[in-house]
Amino acid sequence: MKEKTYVQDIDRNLYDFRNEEGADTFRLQSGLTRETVEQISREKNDPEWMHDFRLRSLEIYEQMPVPDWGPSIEGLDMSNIATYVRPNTKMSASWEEVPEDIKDTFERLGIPQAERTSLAGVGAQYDSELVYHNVREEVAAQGVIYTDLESALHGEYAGMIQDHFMKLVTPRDHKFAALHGAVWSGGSFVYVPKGVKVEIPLQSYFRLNAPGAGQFEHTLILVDEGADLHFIEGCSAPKYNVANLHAGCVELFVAKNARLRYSTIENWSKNMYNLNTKRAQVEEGGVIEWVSGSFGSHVSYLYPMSILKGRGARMEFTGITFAGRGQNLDTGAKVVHAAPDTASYMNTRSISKDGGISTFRSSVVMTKNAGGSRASVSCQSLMLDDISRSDTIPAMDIRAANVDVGHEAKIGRISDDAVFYLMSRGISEEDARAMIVSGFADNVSKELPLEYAVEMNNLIQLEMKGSIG
Amino acid sequence: MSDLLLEVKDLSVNVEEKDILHGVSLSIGRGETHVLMGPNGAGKSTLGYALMGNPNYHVQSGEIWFRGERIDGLAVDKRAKAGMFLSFQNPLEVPGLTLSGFLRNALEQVRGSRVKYSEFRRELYRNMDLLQMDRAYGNRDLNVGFSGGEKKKAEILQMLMLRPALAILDETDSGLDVDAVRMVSQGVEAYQKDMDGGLLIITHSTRILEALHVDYTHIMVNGRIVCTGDGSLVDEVNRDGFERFTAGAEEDSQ
Amino acid sequence: MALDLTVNRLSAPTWHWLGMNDHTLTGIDVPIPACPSVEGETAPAEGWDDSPFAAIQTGMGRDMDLLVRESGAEPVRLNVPAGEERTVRIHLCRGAGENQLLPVEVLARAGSRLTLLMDYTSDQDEGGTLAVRTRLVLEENAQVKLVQLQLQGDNDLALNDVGAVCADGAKLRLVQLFLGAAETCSGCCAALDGKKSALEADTGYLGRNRQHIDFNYVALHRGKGSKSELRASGVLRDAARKLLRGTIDFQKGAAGAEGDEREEVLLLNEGVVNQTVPLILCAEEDVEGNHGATIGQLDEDLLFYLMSRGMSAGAVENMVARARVEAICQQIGDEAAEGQLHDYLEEVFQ
Repeated sequence: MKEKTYVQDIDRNLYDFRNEEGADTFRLQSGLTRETVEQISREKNDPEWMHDFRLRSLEIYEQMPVPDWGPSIEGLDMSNIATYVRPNTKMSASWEEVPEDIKDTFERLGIPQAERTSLAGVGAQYDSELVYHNVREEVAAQGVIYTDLESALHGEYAGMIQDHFMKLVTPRDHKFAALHGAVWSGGSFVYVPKGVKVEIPLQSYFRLNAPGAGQFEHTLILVDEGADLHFIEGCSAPKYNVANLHAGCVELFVAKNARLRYSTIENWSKNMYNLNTKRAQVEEGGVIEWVSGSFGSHVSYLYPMSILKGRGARMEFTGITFAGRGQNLDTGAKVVHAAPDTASYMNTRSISKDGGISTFRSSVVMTKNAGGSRASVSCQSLMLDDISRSDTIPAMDIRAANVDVGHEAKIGRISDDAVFYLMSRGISEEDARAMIVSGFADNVSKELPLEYAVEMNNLIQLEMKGSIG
Repeated sequence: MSDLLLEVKDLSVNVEEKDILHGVSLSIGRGETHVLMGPNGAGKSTLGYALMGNPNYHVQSGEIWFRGERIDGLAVDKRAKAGMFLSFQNPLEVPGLTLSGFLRNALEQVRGSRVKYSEFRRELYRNMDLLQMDRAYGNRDLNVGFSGGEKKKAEILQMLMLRPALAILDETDSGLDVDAVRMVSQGVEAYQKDMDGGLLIITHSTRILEALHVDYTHIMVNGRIVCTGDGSLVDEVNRDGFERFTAGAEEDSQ
Repeated sequence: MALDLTVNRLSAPTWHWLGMNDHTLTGIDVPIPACPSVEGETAPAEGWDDSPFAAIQTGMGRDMDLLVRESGAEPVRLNVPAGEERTVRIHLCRGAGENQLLPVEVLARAGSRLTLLMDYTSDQDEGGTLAVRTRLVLEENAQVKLVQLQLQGDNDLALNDVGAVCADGAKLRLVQLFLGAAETCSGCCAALDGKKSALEADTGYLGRNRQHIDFNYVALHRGKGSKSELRASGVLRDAARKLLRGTIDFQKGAAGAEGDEREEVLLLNEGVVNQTVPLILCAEEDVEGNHGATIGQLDEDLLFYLMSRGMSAGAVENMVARARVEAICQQIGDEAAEGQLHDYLEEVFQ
């Protein structure tokens, strides 16, 4: 049976080769071979369906073009994609090889020594693993499943995973979703049973430090009817990885009247190509809340998408993007209103500095079935100098009549009057500007748990250091 | 036909799931002028909106009868056609729609027949002159760029043009200078005399009432009419404020 | 010969699945030169320098060059001498069964003022293409008011392309109404090169039946203190669809520039499609860019207010829809044009 599929796949590749010049040339150069994917699958001890899924995804990956809009990913060595997939783990094995600026940032953020090595991907699991276990035991008492996705594939939730894995973000979505489908490894699986309210936020950051994980991790969360969860991904310290491509995938299923808050403070090291895909599907009366901070990476393509599928489903997106020197961060959100009386609110801020480029990109779609729905988008951009760039590219497609859609965008700079006012109270110019920028970012910081908000603020202060010539 | 214009029976209304009016009853006869007073937040404007049929104001119980017909299920335009009028506190602006164009259109809808332009214009100018409104306002867009006083005058102008059987004036005198109040009350006086119409004047001050004859005064507190008297009650409120009534209402609710 | 054109390209492309990045016109028959009736003084072809016009970027884009070239049409040329004031009217009536094209070139010399009123009409039943491309050079402190009224028959394809370049202190005032045709494609790009140059645009439309309207408006801010205001206001009903691309592009050096984009769309029934993609591109710190859009049904307070005067919901909708168009009509400031528009509206709202 397996053999047969294999042969058919090859036939299709040949067909594609004849018709789409270039597609196969690329495959030959990519260095990502069927053998590599087979090897990953063997090492992970994949069930058969997953093995087949990986190979199908690889095929799609080979056929799909890289995006022709958004930031350039030319710097990404596509001809050597296999090295991203199978990083040379030896290279990250020593603390000495972690770049100085990252060590420095740890220092200034006040991250404990043990966590630094862990965040840099070179340390053992130390306390983090312990914390993770404690959290897991606490929520397990409520019937919540919080485990790593790979082992869950073999346990009693295997069926649940097969039903949901890459059903929301399919490999056909875009080239890097296909890549993810082929080579994913690591990540979390969370299931919150009916009516269970999880009091403490679950934090994935402790999980991402497992060797080899973190580049193509898959997060799958199912929040059942009437349940409630806050999930936090990442933290504000930079995650250093030698391989500089991140193509993770997050799939969130929010059932009837359930609520899920998904918070991310992303601060990958600044050589990273962050091509992450996140999507939520929300049933009747359910709520998805995204809180998203993008500070790291060299290039980002990140637009969490919400599909409001049931009547009265709601989504809120609160985001901030800070693009500094050498960064081109293309971030935003997408929402599809596919049912009546749904609502969406997007509120974003972006900051560009030292030649950084930030782009807010969004889409609001209301289908014919979305009668009685509301959407509001508000995005504000701050330019901190005239060598940076800030673009706003929002799109709306409205096909229902009795709806209300509002959109506002603003772009500008820090008011000299405000700086002068603060300085007149004895604050240095640098601090004054940093304070104003922190205030500008408060839409996000006030949505975060206190310790994260504090770290994010520290991060902004850090980014603002030396911004006065 | 009886002289009774409006009869409100034990009306309770909520707005955004908050109960505002609790069992209000009120009768207004033809040619009568009623004043509804009360402190801020008492529910006076809510009564006006509920009578006119704003879909956000939900009648929970009770009945509204107007000219012998029960109207609490009727859409707002049907109530207007039946002869009810509400002047708005904050009239809305419509760029591109002239005041006169709008009035003529509304008049035709209310009457159900075409209105001759010459006749319409004569009537419009007569009423504008009465209110000392510049005739040029007829060609300006409805309420767009109007000052507070001009908006109020435009509301009274609409009342005079549409000739309703019952006019509800919601805070028509608030925010106006002395001259504007005089013009507005002249307009209201003309309505009282010429049309023998019923009037329900909602106000929390008494300035507009100085020149008008008042038949009944109602005091509303916390969504209830707590006291009804004749015109002299206005003077009493003028002198002593609402304390006497609010104290009573608090005892009531305990 | 038939041409395939890709026009109205979005200044910065986004997701392809939205279908908003450009508009394709397939199988467009090459039009013949239109014969406009012109009231006012035109410039002779001799001694006319075309080169400054060739460089002008238009809203619909380079593919319009192809169409103009293939048609072989000679432009109507307007030259307004320095300091002078002119009013010119161009009436275009597409004959039955014909596809026509008209290029217009306007050279507004320093300190001159021009009001250019253009209207496009055609046979009600027999469809065809009417394409107009207007390119303008505005020298220092020149002021041009360009009024374009598209009142074509229900089966037409209407192409209306505008490109302008504004020197120091020059101002382009654009007032456009698109009321007819089955498919309308309209673009405008103004390069605000000069210090304190400005674009102020009002675009109105009334989408009904199965009309398809595709817009691309771009303000390129290059000059210091340049200013743009782009306003679009329209009504969609029946099975009409509209796509509006609007871009404020603050390029480096445009310190002190301000750009403002406003859109209001009234959706009167299900079955309409409203697409909007309002871009603000920014490579300069000292600028102020704003965009606001309100899309949806009639405001319920307004509906209540007008109905309280005795009008049915349907009558109110009709009245407000017409008011949207009338509000832009008031910007024209020309009795003849406004009268023509009123007659057209009377028929539409019958």
